[in-house]
Amino acid sequence: MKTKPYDLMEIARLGVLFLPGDFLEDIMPPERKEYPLLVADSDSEFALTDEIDFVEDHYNALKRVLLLTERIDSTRSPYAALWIRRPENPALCEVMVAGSALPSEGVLIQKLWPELARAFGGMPTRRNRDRGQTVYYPVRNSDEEIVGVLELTENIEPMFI
Amino acid sequence: MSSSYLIHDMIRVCPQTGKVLEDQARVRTLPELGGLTAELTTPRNAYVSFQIVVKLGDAGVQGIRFEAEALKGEQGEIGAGEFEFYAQWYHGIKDRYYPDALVPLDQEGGGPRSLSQIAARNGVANQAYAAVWVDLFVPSDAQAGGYRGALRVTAGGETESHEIRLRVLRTAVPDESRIILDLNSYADNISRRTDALRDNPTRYEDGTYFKTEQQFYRMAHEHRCLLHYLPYQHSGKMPPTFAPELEGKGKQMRVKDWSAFDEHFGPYLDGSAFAGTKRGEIPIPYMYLPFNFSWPADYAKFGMKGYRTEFAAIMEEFHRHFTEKGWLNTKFELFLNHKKRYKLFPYDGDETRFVWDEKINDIFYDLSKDVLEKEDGAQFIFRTDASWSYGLHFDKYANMIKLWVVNQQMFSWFPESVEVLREAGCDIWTYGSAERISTSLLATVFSPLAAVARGIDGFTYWESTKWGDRWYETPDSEGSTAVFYPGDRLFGLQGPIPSIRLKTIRSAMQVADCMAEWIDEQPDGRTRMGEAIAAAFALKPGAWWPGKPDFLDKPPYEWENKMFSEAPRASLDNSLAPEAFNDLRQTLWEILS
Repeated sequence: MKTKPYDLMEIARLGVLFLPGDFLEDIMPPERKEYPLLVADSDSEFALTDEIDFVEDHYNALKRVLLLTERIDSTRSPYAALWIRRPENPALCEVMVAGSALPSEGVLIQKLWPELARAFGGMPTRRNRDRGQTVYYPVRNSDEEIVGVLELTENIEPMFI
Repeated sequence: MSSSYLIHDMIRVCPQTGKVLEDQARVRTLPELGGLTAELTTPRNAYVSFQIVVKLGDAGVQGIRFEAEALKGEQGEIGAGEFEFYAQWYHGIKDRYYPDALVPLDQEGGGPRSLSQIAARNGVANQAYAAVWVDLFVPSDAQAGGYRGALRVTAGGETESHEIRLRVLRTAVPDESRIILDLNSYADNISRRTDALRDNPTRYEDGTYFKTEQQFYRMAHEHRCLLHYLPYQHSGKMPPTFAPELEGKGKQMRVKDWSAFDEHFGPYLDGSAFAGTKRGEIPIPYMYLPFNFSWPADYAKFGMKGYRTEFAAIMEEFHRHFTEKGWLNTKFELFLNHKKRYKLFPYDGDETRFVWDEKINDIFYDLSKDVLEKEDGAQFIFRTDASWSYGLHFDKYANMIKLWVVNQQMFSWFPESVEVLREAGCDIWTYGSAERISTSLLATVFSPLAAVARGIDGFTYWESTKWGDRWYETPDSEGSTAVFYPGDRLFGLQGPIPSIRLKTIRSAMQVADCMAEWIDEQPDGRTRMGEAIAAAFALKPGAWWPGKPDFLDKPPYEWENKMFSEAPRASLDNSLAPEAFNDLRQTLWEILS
């Protein structure tokens, strides 16, 4: 029997059910959470990202859910990622965990854009992009605070690196 | 009539003024230079290079032709077909024109690779000089002794004849390189940066990709280098044919079909891709394996038994297949290039900074050890690229990791590591970048010779194909990420064209390979060669090992990038004349003759 493909937003809703928001909140060790401040006097991209470190158990648990979320509907092939707001500057955001590929926006700290900001405000948001689509879905911790956003994207070239 | 000059291969000439671009050169005018290049000395089985610079007359570059005749000696001759001519292409760098790309010259008719067409495309403002690079190959069966011949330059209806006197030594450069000059790059940058491939969605299936890629491998091979093409992105994904297709999961996972992978890589591994090159059909000495954090094992299983099941089974299958194919002359590298800065994995497999990431070495050695410890069949080795943690790791992991590719500055802080790694049977390379185009050509010869002097095996340029979209004006990073350029858009060549710096690398590699071979035959060989290099480059005693920085007592994750600029570094004196390499060659040829 032919089944109807899951909507990308529905896949995101299912994925978020299994994402431990507390782990995303603490994905970096305490001394690295505000890592840009460690090299505030450097304008080198490499010097900045050399400071990135993760709590491996938290990272791996989240990565596993992202990889499995990408497989919820075998007729679709989205890639997933988790965004956070920078704790030292919430007007900025950064992808923290990527599933099978990186969002096209890349890995560096950048300004929030409207659709992502809306999701950080609690509103699951769809973004139609040329031939592809992205959905953003809020991720909450065990205190029900929004600590990140799940991105699912399909038919948009991921970042090549 | 224009005036033409034969000049040596360690300088470049401004196309507007005719002055030497290397500020440190001892001789800086064309008339003086032309008088110095009357006699060339070379071992057999080697290229000897020089340049022809032509002062343009009223007709500009129209109708300029170059013709070499066979060089004749008492014992035979070296045919005119051993000469190759390349037009020098000029790039705008720091308000000057520097030649770097070399376009194989087609002297017949007015085709896209005639000197006049190339110059017209290049569009150098107020061009008053044109230059051609000349490679002369001296075959291995040439007899030692003196040869004479002439090279004629025709311009404006008149012809100038330059006598060439060649002294061929008895010694021969070995076909197989003793030092590895490793040109690293990342799949599939060749497609991304080559118009004809980028626009062809069936390039991996219709064979066009393989043909083009082979031209890069062949060009590297002919210049005594190894193209080293990492097959996977940081995500672990690979383009088609860079890994065999798999089927099944868990205990059922296996290779479904080797055919496309074998078609892609087989010619490099049996050497047939290099048929017709001067060095011959030598299999590539090293090759990356496609294994990574997310291939073949599913990273969703990382830390579970199924991850081991998938990883170990496919590696065993690789080893069996490679052995059956007879690919026994290549070292196949398990290398984990992932970096946590890209947020795809929580570990640095490459250049470990946070010491707790060293567990990756232990985990993946354990997953692979059944194959890595095999004594028969294809050679699979674990490779690491080390910088921050090299001082902490060389002793600890010498028995697991057999290829160490080390940041050249940090390597110089640990002379004691050489003996430790050597005793464990490890290969050692250092890594850095190609030199910028505006840097003296002398800097390019430094790395292969440093490897000889330090007693290590090679040197890596971390990137070699990132020429940039407007390379024909100014290459990306001023050429420090490319030693080739694409030939398709401007010149209709389905493959790369070389650079002057690649030619300079080959000159240095010929010297380094002769030195390395001689060292093996002489009890005090390394000392004597080290002294020759030090004398030529005016290096002080101990220059290769400049000491340790004062921050080594801190863990690497507390180091800051800015500390490195003041830390000890083995480097070349920037005021040295480029002719220092000519002096070294002369010294070496005298020792070997």
